[in-house]
Amino acid sequence: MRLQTRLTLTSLAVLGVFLTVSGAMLTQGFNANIRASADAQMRLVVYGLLGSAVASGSGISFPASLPEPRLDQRGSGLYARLLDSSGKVVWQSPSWVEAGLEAFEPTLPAASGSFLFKDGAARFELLYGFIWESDVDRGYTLHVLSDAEPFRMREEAFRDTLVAGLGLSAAIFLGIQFLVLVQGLAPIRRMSEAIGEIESGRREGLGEDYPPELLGLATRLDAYIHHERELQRRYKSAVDDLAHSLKTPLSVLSAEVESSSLTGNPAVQSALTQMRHLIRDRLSRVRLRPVLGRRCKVTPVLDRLASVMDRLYPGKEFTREVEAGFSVAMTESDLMELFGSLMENAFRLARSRVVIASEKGAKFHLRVHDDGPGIAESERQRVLSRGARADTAHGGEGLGLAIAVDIMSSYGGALAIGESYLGGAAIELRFSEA
Amino acid sequence: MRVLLVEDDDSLRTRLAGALEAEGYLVDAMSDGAEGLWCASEYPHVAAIVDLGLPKLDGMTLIRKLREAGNSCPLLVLTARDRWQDKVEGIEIGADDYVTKPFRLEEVLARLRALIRRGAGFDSSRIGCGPLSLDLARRQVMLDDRPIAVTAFEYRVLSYLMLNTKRVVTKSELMDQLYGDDLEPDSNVLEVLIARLRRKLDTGNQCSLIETLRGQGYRIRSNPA
Repeated sequence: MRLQTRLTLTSLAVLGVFLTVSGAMLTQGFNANIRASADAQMRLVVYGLLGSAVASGSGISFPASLPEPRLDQRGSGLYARLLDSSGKVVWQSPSWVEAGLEAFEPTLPAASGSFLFKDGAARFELLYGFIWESDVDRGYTLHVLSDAEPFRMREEAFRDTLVAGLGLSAAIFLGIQFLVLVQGLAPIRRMSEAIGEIESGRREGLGEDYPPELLGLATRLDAYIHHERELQRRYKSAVDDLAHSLKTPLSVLSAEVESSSLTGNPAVQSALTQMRHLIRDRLSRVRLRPVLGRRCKVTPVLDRLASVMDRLYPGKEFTREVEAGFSVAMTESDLMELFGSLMENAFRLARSRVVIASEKGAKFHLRVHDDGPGIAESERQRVLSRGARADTAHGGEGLGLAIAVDIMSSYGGALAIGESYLGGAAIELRFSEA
Repeated sequence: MRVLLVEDDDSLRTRLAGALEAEGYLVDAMSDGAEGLWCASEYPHVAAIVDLGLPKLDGMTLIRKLREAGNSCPLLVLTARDRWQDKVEGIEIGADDYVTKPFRLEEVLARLRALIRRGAGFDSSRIGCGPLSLDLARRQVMLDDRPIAVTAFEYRVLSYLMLNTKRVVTKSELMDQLYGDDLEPDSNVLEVLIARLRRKLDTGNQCSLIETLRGQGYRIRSNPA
């Protein structure tokens, strides 16, 4: 999973938990505040009623015009009544009577001098117990009800605002976090691109344009890459030197054998041939170091080789049926090695004509045709192996096709032998698209 | 036929020079590029074999300098560098063919013969001029399809004349094909050799196959009748 995706998902999870907990706590706080507000409002009603109460014989009576007008209004949502200690209703506000709340059974009357607030589903309820000075034997409870709907609506409105606010905050947070991630991960992305360029040979090292957290890594990677390159160079150079220094003595040995009585000795000839093969085989393998991600146009390479072949094999006609823009994922050096080997084989074996053509409709296919003797189907597998050759009439070490196979396979392509419309062999090359 | 060989490895140079001399060539064997350049500018060679890894003046520079100086003698490159990139560069700067090390002597000799033949404008190793023909591979002279026995010196003179049928070959040019610079040539030797060849190549016609152009040199007559 991409680092940016991973960090975004983690942030989303943390943000989800944070917003849920924050939302729950804020909602809870707001609801408590709503209840406290209802409690305070209802206490004011209680104090107002007590303030307006007058002694009436041995009991209590309230004036016709109550201090809280809503108690007089039908459907106002505010109701009050007075109960004595036995639970008997002594007085009811007009709003209570008109709302038909007689069936409402309150909890037990509150203790004297104390408030009891209850949060019901539809209404808030406040009970206040007191003793009236002219009737000290009888305890009273003032019972006030208030519709909870206005408070519930405020709660809902708050919840909606909270959700919108938290959602907006989350979106802003995520946007900012995305920018921070893009900005924060940019050096890593730059380093990744630089590594890709190093792999494709377009760059030597990572450089030093990184923040301090990554600079150490970049420096160590550069040192490692440099060290590996140096090792590879030394290794290749050692193999090259070894091969080169063996080639001249081997030529001398070969010349000595040819001019001595050993020239007809099959064991000596076989050993010399084997040594020649080993040197060329190993050297070509060591040199083969595919550089991926680099493309090269085929036609300039073919044209250079064609002029060389014209000099080496004068009188043989060459036709290139490949578009100028045809390019493949391969370095110029390896492309030249590939087509040099294949064209030399084709020119050597051709009677008069060699054609290199791209296949119609296939973007990465090429065929090398010649009008030579061709390669029998039973021989095809054998000639693709190192050192084998289809003909014995010409010079050379017979490594050409096998080297071409190695180059093609190291770049993810394939080589096959078929029959040409010219009558000879057709070497089919299928290049990798990458 | 005089051939230039530039190879820094003593053993290989000695062995190659020996094989070339056994083939009838007069060989100028040089051990470094500077000597090779000097020798190529001093003597006419029918071909040159040049190693690329040479001291003093590397083989590529030697070839380029020879071509820049207008020397058109066929050049066979001996090289341990067997990458096509190197071969293409070598041929692009003026080499005519290459043989990669390690090689077999037979291959070098065959490539050299082919180069000399191609350089003279012949398609086959058997080159002909009227009734006279020369098999470069077998070093055999034929007159009306009859083999004619010739000495090594006679072969050098005759083969050089046959490879240059379209022009007059000067006496000094022919002398250069006969003697190395360490030998003092006898001024009459060439006349003696030509006279011997004329006798051996006598077809009974009035005109000799080898024509003398007074004050200029010799030429093979393509149509002696």
